[in-house]
Amino acid sequence: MLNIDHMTIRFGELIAVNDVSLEVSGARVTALIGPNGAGKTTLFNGISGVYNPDEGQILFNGENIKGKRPSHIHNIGISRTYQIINLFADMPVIDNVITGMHDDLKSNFFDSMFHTRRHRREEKECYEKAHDLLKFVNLEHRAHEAAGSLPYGEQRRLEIVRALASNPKLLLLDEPAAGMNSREKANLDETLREIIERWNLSILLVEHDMDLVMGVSEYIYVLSFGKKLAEGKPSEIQTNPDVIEAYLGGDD
Amino acid sequence: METLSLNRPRYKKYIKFLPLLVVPFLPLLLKNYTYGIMLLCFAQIYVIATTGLDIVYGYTGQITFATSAFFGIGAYGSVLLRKYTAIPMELTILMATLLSALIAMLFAYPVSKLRFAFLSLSTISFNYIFFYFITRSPGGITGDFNGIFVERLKLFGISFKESHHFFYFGLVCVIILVSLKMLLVRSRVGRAFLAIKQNVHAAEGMGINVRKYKVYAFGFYGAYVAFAGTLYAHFVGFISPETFAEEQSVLYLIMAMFGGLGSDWGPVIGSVSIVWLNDILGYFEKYQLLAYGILLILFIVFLPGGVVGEGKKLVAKINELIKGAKNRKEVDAGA
Repeated sequence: MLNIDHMTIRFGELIAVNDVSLEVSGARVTALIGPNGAGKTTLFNGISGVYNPDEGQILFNGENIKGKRPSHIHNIGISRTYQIINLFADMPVIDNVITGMHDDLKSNFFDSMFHTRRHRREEKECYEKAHDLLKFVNLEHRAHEAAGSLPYGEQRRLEIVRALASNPKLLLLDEPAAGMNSREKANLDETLREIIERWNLSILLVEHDMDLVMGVSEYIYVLSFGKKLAEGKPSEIQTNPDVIEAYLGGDD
Repeated sequence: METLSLNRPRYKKYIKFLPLLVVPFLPLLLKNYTYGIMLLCFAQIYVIATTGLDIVYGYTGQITFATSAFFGIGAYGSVLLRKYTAIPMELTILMATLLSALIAMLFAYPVSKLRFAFLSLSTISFNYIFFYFITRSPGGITGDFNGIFVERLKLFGISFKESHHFFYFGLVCVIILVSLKMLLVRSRVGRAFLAIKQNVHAAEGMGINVRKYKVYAFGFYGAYVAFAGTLYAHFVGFISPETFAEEQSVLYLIMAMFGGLGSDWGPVIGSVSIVWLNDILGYFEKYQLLAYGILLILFIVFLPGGVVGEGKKLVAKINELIKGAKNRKEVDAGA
């Protein structure tokens, strides 16, 4: 599904992502871990079109998406959440979700301006669908509150359903558990499994919470200082000496 | 449950608009005050222009100081076409409006990459360039600084020369154009505009082609403002460059901000109020600009949401107080 082939992203002298290759496929969670500043979010931004990688290729179902607009990349089926919450803060919760459906809706400027039958049918459908999605993450009672007024954990969940609203094939989750309490984290585990089952999609997860990562992922890539340090199944990663040293710090 | 468009009985939604039924009778009420009717006509023209401005600034969040240039593209466009060709006025108005929309979109394409301060500067420059052209036109076709006369509004054989006739034509235009904007902002396109205003990165990340929608927002703006400009030219019968100078662009922003940005009624309330205020200030010509400056600062500090925005806040506060009082009563009763 997603093949990253020798991706490099530089900011001047700093090499944030250095010759990284990875593959995400299947209806499962692939995790990307690494110490702070390892380049995980930069890599996400490289995939989703926020940055244009300096070198390498990004193939998504055979199409090279390197350097494409973020909106195009979203349209072909890669949706994401953000490390720093990036909601439409003053919009009602439900409108946030409906905005996520933007490219699935067919209404054009004419439909929008004259509220044609197509517009009315689509609006009705997407309100119902959005309510359904909000129910999925227990936010239905918040539907008409401003997104920015929600507690942190709920905002994270809203970001996830907004990303799901477009029925993506690949979901990029950037630290979804950050700021959640332990109960919310435990539920997230379950939620991710449900998402995979219901949408039949692939998840690429960046996360610092190791319990969550080891619990849900089937394959893990480890980044350190922009380079790929290791890859493998959770059990292999947990016992990999390089990984342990990167996390605990060597004493050389 | 309250949603934007579903589930509420329709008639209830419209009850609050009943007082507006008095508007068509205003010319009769003001029969002995022709000057007042004329001011209303100008107010209508500005309502149309600020409604367009509200689409691009209030909803899409793109500041522009080029409003009087697009107003001028409409005005000069229709006037020059009338003067130098045999095209009927109905068409020159339409052509000038579409031309302005096209220019606005061509302008927006490169400019859509710019943010607040740089966007402001580029729109200011655009207005200066336009001003330069109309005051130093090739062969003096625009009448340069002297201005240019034009015939008054006459469409399909009906003359709207008199204020109390123009008023009804203007009213129909206002109703149609303001309604179209209300529909537009409550749609997929309107949501895209708002998303861009609130969070450009998230909007692009959610599949909205930000550049495309900014270009279209400018297109609507160009069309609305220019259409208002054509009406202005044919209502007054004379145009001269100072109406389209950079300083005038600020006036539209004051109207939009006073009424309330990103709202249905903001442009209407703002334009009508400012036209009246403008007229009163006209008696103190020397201090007019000073007064604008002070007013603008006062609005920004004390009325950041405009009349509509602050009004909504006030209503919400009162509702909360009532709710609080009710709850307390129930608690008291329970105890």
